[in-house]
Amino acid sequence: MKKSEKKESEDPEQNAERADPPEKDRRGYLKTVGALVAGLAVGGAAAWLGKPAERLPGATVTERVTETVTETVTTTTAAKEISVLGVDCEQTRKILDITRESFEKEFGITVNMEISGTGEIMTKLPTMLAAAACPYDVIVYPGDSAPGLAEYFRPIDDFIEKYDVRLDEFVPALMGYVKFKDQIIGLPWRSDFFLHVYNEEAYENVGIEKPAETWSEFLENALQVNDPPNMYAFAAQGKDFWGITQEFFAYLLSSGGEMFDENMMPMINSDIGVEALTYYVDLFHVHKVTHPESMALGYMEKLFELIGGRVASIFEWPWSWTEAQNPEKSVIVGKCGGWTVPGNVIPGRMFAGGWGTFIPKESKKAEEAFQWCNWITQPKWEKEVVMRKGDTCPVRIATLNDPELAAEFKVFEGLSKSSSVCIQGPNFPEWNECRQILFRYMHDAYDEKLTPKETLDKAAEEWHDVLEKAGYYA
Amino acid sequence: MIPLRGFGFVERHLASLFILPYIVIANIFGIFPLAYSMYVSLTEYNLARPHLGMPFVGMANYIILLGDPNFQNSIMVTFTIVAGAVFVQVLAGLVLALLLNLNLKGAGFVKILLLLPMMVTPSVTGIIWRILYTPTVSPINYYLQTIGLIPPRWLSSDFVIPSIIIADSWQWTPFVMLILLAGLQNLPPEPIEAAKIDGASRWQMLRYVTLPLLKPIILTAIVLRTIGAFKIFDMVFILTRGALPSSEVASIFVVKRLLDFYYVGYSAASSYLFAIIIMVISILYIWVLRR
Repeated sequence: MKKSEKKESEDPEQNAERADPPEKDRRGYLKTVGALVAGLAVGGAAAWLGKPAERLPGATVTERVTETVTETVTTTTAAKEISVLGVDCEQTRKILDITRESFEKEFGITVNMEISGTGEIMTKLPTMLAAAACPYDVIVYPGDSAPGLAEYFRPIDDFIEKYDVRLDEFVPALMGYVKFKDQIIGLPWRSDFFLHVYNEEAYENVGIEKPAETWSEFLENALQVNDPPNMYAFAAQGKDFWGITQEFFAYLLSSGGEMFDENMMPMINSDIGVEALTYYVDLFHVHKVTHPESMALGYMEKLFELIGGRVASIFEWPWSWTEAQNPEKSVIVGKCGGWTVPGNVIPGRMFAGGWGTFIPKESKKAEEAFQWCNWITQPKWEKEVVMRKGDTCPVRIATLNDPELAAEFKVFEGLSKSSSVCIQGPNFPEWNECRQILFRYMHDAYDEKLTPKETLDKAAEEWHDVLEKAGYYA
Repeated sequence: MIPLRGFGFVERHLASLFILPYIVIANIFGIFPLAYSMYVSLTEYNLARPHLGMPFVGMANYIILLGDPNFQNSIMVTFTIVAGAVFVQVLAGLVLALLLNLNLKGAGFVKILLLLPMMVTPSVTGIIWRILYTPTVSPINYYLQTIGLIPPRWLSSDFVIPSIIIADSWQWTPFVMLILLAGLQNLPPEPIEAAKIDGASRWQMLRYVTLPLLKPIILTAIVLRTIGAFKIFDMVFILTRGALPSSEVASIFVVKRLLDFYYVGYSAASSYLFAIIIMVISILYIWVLRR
């Protein structure tokens, strides 16, 4: 007998174990699996049976008791509710406070607003819309960025007709942000007109009675009021890409220049463009009236320099004037003026900024959403928001020209004048990219690494490449 | 015995069957996004023009990227920051670890204080350093001016990279210090004692005994910090938004192309290309260090 055979026969029990697992282990496995399956089945059945009957929101349950039977009858009245993604600012909070109750009473619609910072809105919204997973019925979005997402917003021409919305009541330049391919895709919600915001007291101390109307007057005033290091005449905004570029556009446009021609060819490097950039670079390096740290100042830091009494003037949107009236932050409360930016041809001619309300295509409550968008910009609410210090950014012409508001808030004269001459800003998806390109090159001009002409030629060339790639010159 | 046909497979693989649901789900959530984004990188998907769909363009995005001066710039910026930051952190971490290893009085308390920056999130670090670098409110500038020095323009295009390295090192030097301190405290005592008996000076002991023994730990710290530094985003975004080319690191390049310019395909391709470049460089880096 061979060793292996002998081994096999000598130990029959072990052989049996090797051939088959022990009976007790097999039974153990079966018990475990069986218990698991049974548990899942029981749990699932219990969950299904115990689930309450589906009831629509707002439904009421009544019990009707008969002699022998108790019936439960569910009646449904669908409660109307819309969700809004709003931007974090005083205007949003005031709008909500002022209009929530009246809107709910008038239309029976509850508004749930989620308030977010601009940055968060602009980062999370594109992907939500692209995935058709936007949970909001209304989105408050910056107008100059809206063209990039225009194809995700529902056109509202039908609602405008149905509710007889007078579009001519809105500032025309603001309507440009809410139009896309000849369709209206939103309503203006908040205006922004570029202003010359200045320290009235600093100006009066050196005998300047009113703000400059032309760019040469601005320089003369700047040289008079400049008293470094206690007071600088001007602060630029070199940290954020929209800062020094919008200052450049203010000069360019108010002096008769354009950013593009009718064929979308860049014109920023025209003679007026070079003159504009040279002006600012000279303010900084030659006349030294610009705050020396301007290239490191963001919009908040620039504002703090003004309202802290260390800078005499800035070019900024109206929110800065509102902030200057806050006694907790500002030393120039009641002494802050707001006027149109200077201009050699049309003072104040600059593109309007602003925010609009847009309805995503996948919203199931588009009409209710539109009713809210239309309601919040009614003149009576706009006026009340301003009177309650909720920013000075109305979108209707009537509100901007309201004499009571002009008497109460002196910036309204400047706002009204700016709104009458401002133009619609660029309205195409590649605009952000173009601005960032210009910003990079303008920094080189401010750092004197490039001349203004070289700066604008390079920027214009890159703008042309971007637009060509996007198919504008086909 | 009751034979159960086919039961052998189940009982042999029962454990695997129990964890199978988890593996399937984890792979769906892990592999599917990778595969989909790889596909998107081969298309010209523009978020602002959904009506154009996702036209397949093959490797075109990758080819354009390799010639894109902005992409090349972001690679250079990222590598410069990584090299500078890792160098500073390892050097400073080593010095701090050696000092703490002396077990002087109060070392425990000092160690806790030194670890605090590591517990701050990168975004908060960005906010702190943004305030410190804002010239109009910066206490650093104030004290530098008090002693007669002219503070640099921290976030200008000329100085932004050192500023980022300083902020990153403030946060992550304690991490390196911790690793090296643990290494120092676990070194075998015999070689050190032998060196002492042989009359080696402190410097000789450090150079010829301690550092060679600590080399594997130092390499580990370098590798860990290198991987961490390549992922830098939050702090740089808060400091500068990557607005200037000299602060546009790889991650900001990718995010900007996606969320500012809406070039989804291009952005996806850039993220893969960055990953490949970083992987290749990291492998070379580790290979050179290990030699």
